[in-house]
Amino acid sequence: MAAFATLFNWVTTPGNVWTRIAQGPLVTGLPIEFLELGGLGGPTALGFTLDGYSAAPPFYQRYKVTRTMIPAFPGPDQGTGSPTLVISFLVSPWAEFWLLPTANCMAHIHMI
Amino acid sequence: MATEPSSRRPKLAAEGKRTVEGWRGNALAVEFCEDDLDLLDNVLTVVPILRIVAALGREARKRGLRYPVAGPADLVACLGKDTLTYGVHRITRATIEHAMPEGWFPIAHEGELLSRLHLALLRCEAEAAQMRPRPAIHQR
Repeated sequence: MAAFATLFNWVTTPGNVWTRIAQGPLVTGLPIEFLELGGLGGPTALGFTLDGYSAAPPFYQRYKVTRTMIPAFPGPDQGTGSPTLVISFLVSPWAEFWLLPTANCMAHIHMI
Repeated sequence: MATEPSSRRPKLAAEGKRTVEGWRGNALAVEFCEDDLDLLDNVLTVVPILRIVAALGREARKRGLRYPVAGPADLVACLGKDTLTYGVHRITRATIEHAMPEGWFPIAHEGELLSRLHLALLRCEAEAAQMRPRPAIHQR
């Protein structure tokens, strides 16, 4: 079972504003999560920083992407089919993921 | 191109805005009023650790904690020599320094503080559970 309530929990994420895009327990046996970003109005070029805070080691991790192309936002009930970033957080009673994009976009964390 | 993940958070003040709205993310938009206080009090009982988070947040307000909180030392200074006890949790200078790593700072506003306190409480519970004596069947 995924840690977050819905498969596609898209969050509107304004450019240059830290936005908490996901939070919850990380209970999956496979410590891999996928960040998906969707461009508003079509494919978009942007950079972003993803911060993860966790109640378990390593407690904090940062991923930074200086520039990448993201596909168009596919709608609230769908995924883009191509994760923008694959990240790894270990099992934790609770974790929070924060995103700082350089332009407005939609974002969600997908767990397997 | 992605950089390698880092466990250190740069302390750049100009690096993006940190707002309560951003912290709320896609939280359900429901407005509460004074008449709902007993309901909110009951809801906090559903997840007991949130009552501790609320109590700590109230204590921080009472003690006039100022934002941004630059590091654990600011929280220690706010607590002074006091010890706060909520249920099985004891909050002291030593427990703050242990449970809240530098990477969780600076803390820009009250919302972030509540989130970090929640993580710290859960971390302490997880560590306590790991130190708990195991039933004999698990010992070798």
